[in-house]
Amino acid sequence: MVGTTTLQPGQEAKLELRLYMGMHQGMGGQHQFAVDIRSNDPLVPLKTVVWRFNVVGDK
Amino acid sequence: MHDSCTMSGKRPQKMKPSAQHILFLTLALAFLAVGTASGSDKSTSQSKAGLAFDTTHVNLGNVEQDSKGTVTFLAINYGTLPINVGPVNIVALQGGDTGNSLQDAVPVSPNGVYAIPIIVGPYKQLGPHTMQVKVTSSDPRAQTSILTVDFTVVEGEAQEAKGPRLRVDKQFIDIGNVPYDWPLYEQFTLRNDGDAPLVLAGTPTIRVELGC
Repeated sequence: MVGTTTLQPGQEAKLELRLYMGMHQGMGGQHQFAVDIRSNDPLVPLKTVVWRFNVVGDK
Repeated sequence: MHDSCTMSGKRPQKMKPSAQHILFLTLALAFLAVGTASGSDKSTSQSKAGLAFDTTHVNLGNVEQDSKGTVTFLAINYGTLPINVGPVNIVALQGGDTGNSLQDAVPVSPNGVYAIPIIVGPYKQLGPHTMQVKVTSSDPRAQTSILTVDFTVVEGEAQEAKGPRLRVDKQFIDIGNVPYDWPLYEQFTLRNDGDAPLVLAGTPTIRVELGC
């Protein structure tokens, strides 16, 4: 997303995270990504979502 | 961040293998997009394998009562023949809340990926929940696959619907253990629950809190 995006009341948008190649050898272990979303919401101007996974040799 | 991490913010689509080694660290917002996608290649496909999933268990942590959410499982066809995925049946193993998903079969081409959307909520019953997601397929080795979703419903914060209000369907997701070189995908639904236009400012910032 570049610049600003406006959602009208009731409107939705998808925020998608893709790691199609996954994590390679040597990058194992716990991972946690936090995504900060800033908006003009006067009560919560900064909202953070968290994506966590653990990379292991075998599923 | 390690330069081998590859992340982009678009819907799953055809990718050239050479492009898969390029670092992408972007996010995208697709307005009113339905959680469907298909056709992502994976260069490490194995002809002997068939249907696989990016993960079989996710934990959403705490979710607010009366809110709704979407969980996405990637169905990956590592086989050499097309397969059909679906329908999907969801039952509550713990707690009373369940969800909805595919009612019909969806074709997934060889080396293709389909993002199965699981719509959960509105969450009603407070406390811990476990949903069992049964995915049927035409793969004879995976005619029924069992996936699970855990979450705990907590009371939401009372907010007046005056002005713009950003609601995210989930603030946390843990997809558990994943192998090396395994495709990963997640989506969050942003909604304006207020009564005035909500302006999302700039590009959402990704912070690596743990790992590469």
